[in-house]
Amino acid sequence: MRKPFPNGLRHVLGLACGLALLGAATPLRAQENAPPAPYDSIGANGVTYDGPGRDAAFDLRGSTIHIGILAPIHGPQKADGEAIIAAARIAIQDASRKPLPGGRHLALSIADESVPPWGLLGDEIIHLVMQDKVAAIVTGADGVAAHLSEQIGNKIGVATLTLSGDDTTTEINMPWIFRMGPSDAQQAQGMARNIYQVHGYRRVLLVSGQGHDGQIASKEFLKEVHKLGAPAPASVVINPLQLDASALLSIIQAKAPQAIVFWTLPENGKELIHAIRAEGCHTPIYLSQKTAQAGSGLGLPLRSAEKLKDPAGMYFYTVDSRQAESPLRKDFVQRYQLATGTLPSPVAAEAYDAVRLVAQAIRKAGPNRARVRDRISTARNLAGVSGTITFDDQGNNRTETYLVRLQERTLQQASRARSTPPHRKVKVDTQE
Amino acid sequence: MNVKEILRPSGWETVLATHTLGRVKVRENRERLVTMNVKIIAVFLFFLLCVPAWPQSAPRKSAKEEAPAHIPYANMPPAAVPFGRYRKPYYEWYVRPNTLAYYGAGRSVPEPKLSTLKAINIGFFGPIGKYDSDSIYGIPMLHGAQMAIDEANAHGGYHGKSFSLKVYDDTPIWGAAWEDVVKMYYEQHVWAMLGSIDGDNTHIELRAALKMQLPIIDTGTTDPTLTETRIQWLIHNFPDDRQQGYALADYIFNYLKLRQIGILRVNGNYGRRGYDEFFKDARRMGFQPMVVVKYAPGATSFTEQLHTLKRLDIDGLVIWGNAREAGLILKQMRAMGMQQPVFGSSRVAYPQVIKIAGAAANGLVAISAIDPASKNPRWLKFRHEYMARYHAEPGPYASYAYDGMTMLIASIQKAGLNRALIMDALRQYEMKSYQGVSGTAFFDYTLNNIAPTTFAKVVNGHFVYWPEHRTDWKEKPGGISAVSAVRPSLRKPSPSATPEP
Repeated sequence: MRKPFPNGLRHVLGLACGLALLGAATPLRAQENAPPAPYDSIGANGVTYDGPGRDAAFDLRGSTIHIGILAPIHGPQKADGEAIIAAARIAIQDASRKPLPGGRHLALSIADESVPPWGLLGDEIIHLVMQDKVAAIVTGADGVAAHLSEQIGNKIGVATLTLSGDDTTTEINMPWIFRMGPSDAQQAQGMARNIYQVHGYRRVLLVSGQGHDGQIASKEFLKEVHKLGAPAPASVVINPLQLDASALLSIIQAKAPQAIVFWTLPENGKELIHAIRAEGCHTPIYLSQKTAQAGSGLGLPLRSAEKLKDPAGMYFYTVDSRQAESPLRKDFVQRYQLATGTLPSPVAAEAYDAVRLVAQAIRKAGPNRARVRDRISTARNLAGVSGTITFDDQGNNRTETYLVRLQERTLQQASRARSTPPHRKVKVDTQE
Repeated sequence: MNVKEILRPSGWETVLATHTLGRVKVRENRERLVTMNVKIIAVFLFFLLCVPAWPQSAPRKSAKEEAPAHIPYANMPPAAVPFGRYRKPYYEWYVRPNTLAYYGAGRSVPEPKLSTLKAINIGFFGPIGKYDSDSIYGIPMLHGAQMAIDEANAHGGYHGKSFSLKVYDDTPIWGAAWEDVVKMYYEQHVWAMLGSIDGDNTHIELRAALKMQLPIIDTGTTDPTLTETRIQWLIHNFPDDRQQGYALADYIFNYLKLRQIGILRVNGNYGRRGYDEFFKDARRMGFQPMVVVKYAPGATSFTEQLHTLKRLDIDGLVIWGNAREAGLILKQMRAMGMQQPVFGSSRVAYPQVIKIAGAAANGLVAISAIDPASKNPRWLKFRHEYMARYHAEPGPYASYAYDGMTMLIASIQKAGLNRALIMDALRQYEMKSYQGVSGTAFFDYTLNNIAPTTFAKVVNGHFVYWPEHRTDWKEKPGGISAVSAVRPSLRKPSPSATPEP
C-alpha cells in the first residue's frame, strides 16, 4: 500500500503537530497553576474607627488614669506575668516623671490572665474596662487572651496592645488591636531562613504545644518551610499538662534532627530542653518569643544561666526586635535587672514599650479611649526599648526583627530579617 | 426710747428686740435658728459628700442614649434574666436606639446607572437540595420569596427594571456557605439577600455580609444569637428559640404548674441551639429539667430514650425537633403507657405530627410560628394565591419569606440602589410593628422580631391555635425540692398565664 506522505515529511508533520499541541496546552497549564484572582481585598487600605467616643463627654473621670495589664499572675506562668508587670512598672515610673495635664496621674490596673479563658478571663477583662475604667489594655503573650480582649475592646471601645504573636488578631479588621512584637509568621520566617538558608539544615524537629497558639504558630512555620522549598520538618505536638520528655527524646534519637524549634509554653520548653541537654544532645534549639519568656529559665535570666552553661556551646535562638546599643535600651535593661535580677525577655521589653506608648497617648490625647486609640494608631518610628515602633494600618508593628543567639550569658545577633507583613518580600542577612 | 422700734428692721435685731418681751420667746427663736442652721449645714454636707461621687458617675450621654429602656431586651421576663439574682449588669446592650448604628462610608457609594443593569438582583440562600432534610422548610421559603418578587414585578419592579432572585443552595458545609454568599455578591451583584435556615450557616453569611456590606433579611433561622452580634446588616423576622423558650416555660411552669420536665431533642444544630434556650429559662425559674435525651436526625425508634424518661417519672416532656420524629415519639410513648403532657418547638406544629401519631397526638401543645386559622385578609389572600400556585398550604417558612422579601423590596424602592441606604431603610423598623401575612411582627433595637408567639394544641385530631399571653413571671421560683411532693394531678393551672382557647 502506498504511503500518503513520504517518511521525511511525516516526521516533520508529526513534530509540528506535537509542538502545536504543546503550544496550545501551555496557556491552559498556566491558567491551572495561576492562583485565582481575589474578588476584593478587604481591609487592605487599613482599618479605621469612625464610631463615637471622641467627645469630651466620653472622657474618663477621676484624677488617676489606669492602664490595664492582663498577665498571668498565678500558676506555672507566674514568672512570665511578673516579668511583664515589672517592665510595666518601670514604664509607669518613667512616664510619671513629668506630670500629666490636669494634675492627673497614671497607675496600672492588673488582671489575671492565667484563669480559664472562657468566662473567667472575659470577666477579668470586663473588670478592667468597666470597673477600673482603664484607658487601654496590654495583654501578655497568650493569643486567646488577646482575642478576647480585642473582642471586648471592639464592643466597648478600648484599645488592646498585645504581646502575643498570633497573626490572626490583626487580620479581622478591628480598629482596636495593636501588636507590639513580631507576629508568628515573622518569627517563623526569621527562624526558617536561618535554619534552612544560613545553616543549610535539612532535618528539623518542630515541637509545638497543644491549643490555639501552638496550632497557629506551627502552621506558620510549616508555611515558611514550604515557601523555602525545604523538606517538611518532623512535628511533635505536646500536651502541656502531661509532658513526656522520654517520648520526645526517643523521637530525637530516631530522627536525629539538626535543629529543634520550640513553640511551646515557657515552662514546657524549660523542662523539655533540660531533658534534652541532660541526655548530651547539643542540637541547636530555636525558641519562639512566647517560649523564650522569663518562665523558660533557659538563657535570658542570668540567675539560672549557670545551670545551663554548656561547655560544648549552646545555641538558643529567639526572635527579638531590639536596639541593643540604644541608651534607652541599656537604661531599661539595667533597671530591670536591678528590679528582678534577670535580663528582660523580648516580651518584657515589649510590655515596657506598650505601657509607655499608652501613657504617651494619654498625655497627648487626654483621658479618652477613642482618642488614645487614634494616637496609638499614628505611632511611626517611635524609639522603644524593644525596637522602633511603627504600626501599619492593621495594627502590626513593622519594626525590624532580629534573630538573636544566647551564648555564654550574652546575647548576640545571629541574623536579621526585616519584619514585614507576610505578603511582602523579606530580606534576610545570610551572614551570621 | 422705744427699743422695739429701733431694732425692728432685721431678723437679728428682731431677736434682740424680743428679748425685752420675755425669756420664753427668746428660747423659741433660738431653737428656730438652730434648726435652720442644722438644715443649712445638712444641705451643705450633702453636696460636699456628693463631690467625690461625681467623677465616678458615668460619662454624660446624648439625649438619645439617656432614654430609658422601656422594654426589657427580647421581652425577657425578670425571672429569666441571666445571673439576674446575683449580679447587676455594668451595661445593658441591645436596648438603646444606637444598638445598630452604622458609621461606615457605604452611603456615599454612587448608584449605578439603571440602564447598565439587566435586573435588580436579590440573593436567596436556603436549603433546597433534593437530599437535604431541611429542604422541607427551604423550598417553601423559596416559594414565598419568589411570590413577593413576582408581585413586585407585576407592579412595575424598580423603575421599570424587574427584580430577579438569584438562588443558591445552602448545603450543610461551612466553606460552601461562605463561598456562595461571596459569589452572590461579586458575581451576581445582588443588592441584598434573603436567608437562611441553619443557624451556623446564617452566622457565616452574616460575617460575609459584614465585610461586604450586604443587607440580609433572615426569615428562617430560630437561632437568637444572630441578632446579638450587633452586626448592622441583618434583620430577622422568624420567632426565635428564645421567644419560643419563654412562651413554653411560662405555659409549662406558670400556667400548668408542672415541675419535673424532661427534654427530648434532635441531635443537630436545630435541637442543640433550640432546647438550650428553654433549658436555661427553666433553670433560672428554679425548675431545672430532669434530663435531656437526644435522638439522631431521621430516627424511627425512640424506645431507649423513652425508657430513660419513664424511669425518671417526669411530669411532662418537651420535644425540640421535627414533626415526623415528634409524631413517632408520641405514638411510641403512649404505647408504653406514658401519659404525660407533651410540648413541642415550632417545627413540631405541622399536620405531619397528627398524621403519624393519630389519636396519640391529642393534647400535644406546641409553639406555632404562624396562626393558619387567622382571619386576617392579608393572610387569607396570600394563602389562596400560594395554594393556587404551589398546591400546598403555605407554612411558616413561606409566610415569613414572603413578608421578609416584601419588606426588602419596599426598602430598595425607598432607598435606591445603595446597600447602606437599603439597610438604613430596613433599620427604620426598629421598635416598630410590621403587619404581614404571617401576623404582626415587632422589631426591637437589634432588628429581631420579638412579637408574642402562637400556641397550637391538638384537639380531636386538629390543631387549635391561640395567641400567647405571657404572665409577668414575678412568681417566686419554687425549686425542685419544694415541688417534688406535689403531683401534677393535684395542681391547678394558673389563671394568669397563657390560657387555652
